[in-house]
Amino acid sequence: MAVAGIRIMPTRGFLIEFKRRIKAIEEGYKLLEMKRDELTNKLRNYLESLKAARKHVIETASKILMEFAKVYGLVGPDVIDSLAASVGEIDISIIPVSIMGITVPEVRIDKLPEAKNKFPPVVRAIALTLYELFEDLIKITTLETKIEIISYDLERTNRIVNALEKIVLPEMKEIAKMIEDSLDEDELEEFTRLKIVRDKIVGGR
Amino acid sequence: MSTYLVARAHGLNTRLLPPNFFEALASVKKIREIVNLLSPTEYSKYIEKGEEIDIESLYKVYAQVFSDRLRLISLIPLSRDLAEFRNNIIMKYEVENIIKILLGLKAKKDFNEIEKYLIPGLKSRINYNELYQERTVERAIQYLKTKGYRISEKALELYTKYDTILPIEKELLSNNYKKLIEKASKLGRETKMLVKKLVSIESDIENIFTSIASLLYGYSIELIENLILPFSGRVDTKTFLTIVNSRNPREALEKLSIYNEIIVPLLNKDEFKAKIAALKNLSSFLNSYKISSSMAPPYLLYLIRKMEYEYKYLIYISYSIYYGSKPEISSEMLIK
Repeated sequence: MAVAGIRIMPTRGFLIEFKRRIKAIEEGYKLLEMKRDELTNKLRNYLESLKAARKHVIETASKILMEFAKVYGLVGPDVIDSLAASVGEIDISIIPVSIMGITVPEVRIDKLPEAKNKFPPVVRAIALTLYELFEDLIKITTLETKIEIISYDLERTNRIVNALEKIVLPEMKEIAKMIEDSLDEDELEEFTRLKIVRDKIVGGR
Repeated sequence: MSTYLVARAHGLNTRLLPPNFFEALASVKKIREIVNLLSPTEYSKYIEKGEEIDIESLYKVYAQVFSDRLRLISLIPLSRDLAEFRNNIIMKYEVENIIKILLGLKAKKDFNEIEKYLIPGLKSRINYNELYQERTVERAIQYLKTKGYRISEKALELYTKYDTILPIEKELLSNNYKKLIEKASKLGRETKMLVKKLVSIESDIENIFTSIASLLYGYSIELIENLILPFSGRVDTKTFLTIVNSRNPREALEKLSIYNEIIVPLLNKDEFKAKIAALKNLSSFLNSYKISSSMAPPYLLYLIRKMEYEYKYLIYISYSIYYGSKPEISSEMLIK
């Protein structure tokens, strides 16, 4: 039973407190439902962005690889290897950002190695395209991480919302109804007893 | 003496691969097939029969044959002026080796990684290992200066400012050309004129690719201006400098219309296509050059360039096939 662990007492005081608890849980359920809807929207948007970004990256990367295959022998494998190895380092920062209370990473590129002025003809066009692609790759990585984190939280939220909607709240409402019915019955019993006693008292005079 | 040189050069020309070899390459899909085509040629002496050869080993084979041919030429007994002329033609490849070492130093590669792509066996005043042992590009340049190479402070300043070997590369190439013209001038007016003609066309092609760098790729104007080679060919050096400072591709298109087949793809950022067009242009020029120089010392320049093209063309084709790309093999790229 979802409300296991709570000692049910069929008293008016308990019923009032219980109903207050049900109301608080209902409000929490509504908030979580809103959170779930918002996370679903965000996830849908991220997935669309990811699909578009991936398509672009795959297309561009395929073109670059095809160009590279042509250029490698023309320029000289040693020249290309040396140029690639002498590219400087990249500095990035990972900044935590909150989305609906969930912490997701945002990647900020602090420093990209300089692409201009470095590369000889033929190599430079590919190198500069690769540099642009690099920023897209960072974007994809960030999106994929966000999607993973949000999906996990969405799954969890969904489970909680469903549990509240389908199990906890109905059970609690049922218990509240039972207590209410029980109290009503007691009241009726008491009233009937009092009436019988009054009738006896009045009848006996 | 020059007649003897030209006669030997004509003789050496017969050792080069015939055009039908390259036609046969058009249908090749694997490295093994290239090796089979090479089996009746001079290259086969460096390929073990029956052994599977990898692309790096094939590269070494090509370089070795090129080196052997240069060595044969360097052994021809000649008068002092002719020998200096010949040596300066071959010096271009020492410069290429030096640039590879400088690039390798900058990339912090091991010497054995660099060495396998050097043209071996060149009679050089530079000990490549010693050059490498300098460990940094700056110290390597000081070493080169002690061996007679002139590298200006401006080139060094640009290297430091933009962190690129390009200014040093261009200066070494430019000095090589200057020396070549200087040596050619000692062999007579006709020789000087023919050599200047080739140098200016090669410079034009280099300058086309250099001059549009700031326009298309945002390269620093200061850097690019200093990379323009100072040899006017069909296009004046001043024109290239105008293009460097221009922000309008139309201006480059108009001023370089004589090289339309190169500038059009270049402005579309199809550098590979532009490079192939440039190579075809150079081949075509060298084929006409062959006729005008056939009985003069510049025929040697023609021959060595032809050997260089064969060597580099084979590398390009082999790597293209290795990486699954269909190489451009056309008769227009052949020097006949």
